[in-house]
Amino acid sequence: MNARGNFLIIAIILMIGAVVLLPVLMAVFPPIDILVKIFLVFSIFMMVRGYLGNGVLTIIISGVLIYFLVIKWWWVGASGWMAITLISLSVFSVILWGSQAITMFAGPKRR
Amino acid sequence: MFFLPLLLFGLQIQPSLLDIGEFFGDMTIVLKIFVMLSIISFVLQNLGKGPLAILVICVMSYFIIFDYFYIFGGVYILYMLALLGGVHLMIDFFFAAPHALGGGGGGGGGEELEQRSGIEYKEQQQHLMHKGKRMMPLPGM
Repeated sequence: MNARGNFLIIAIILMIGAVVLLPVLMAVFPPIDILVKIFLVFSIFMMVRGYLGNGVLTIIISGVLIYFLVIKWWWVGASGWMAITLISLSVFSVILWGSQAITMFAGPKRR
Repeated sequence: MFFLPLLLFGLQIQPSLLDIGEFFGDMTIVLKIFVMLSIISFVLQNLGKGPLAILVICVMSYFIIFDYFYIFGGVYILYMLALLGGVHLMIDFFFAAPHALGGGGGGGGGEELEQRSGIEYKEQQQHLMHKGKRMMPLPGM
């Protein structure tokens, strides 16, 4: 496989692994599961309150979002929060440039 | 041992994965809620609270969420990715990928050769000699 394929595979695997890491930890360690879910509940409520202010509508919409993202599809909420955090901190950029460096050092020299 | 956590994770979400239609339906509802929050925040920020703001929210919500969501849903996802720094990620990708190829966007298959300096040319020659291919000698070699 050429350098382009190696770079893409390494970068994609690392990015997916970074996003999936939190749900896997939540599945393996129940304390992390509880802590992350509590954090997600607060994050969702604070976000909705930032948009709508205090009120009944905030509680209703927060409840709906918490049901879907924290209780029913908890791994989607955890993965999404992890992806958003990593994108905003530019961690994926570090992974991309690291994959490029790995590909250049480990792969065959292209002349 | 390494795959045990992945197996546990897969077993936990396996019943959910079987209901793909339910999953996409629920995620569509979640996305519509986020779009509605953005619409309400935008209108309240620009028009304040009042009957006009409520009217604008209702009209915008009807067209964006109920009528043309198949367009605005994807647009909203791209907008949020761009807002969070996805464009920066794309820029880094398009800068990193050519460097991973070993130069400024060149190179394709396995045997294409690009000459950039005398040292690299010498290494190229040695590489081809090791692979048993004939190369024409050049001055200075």
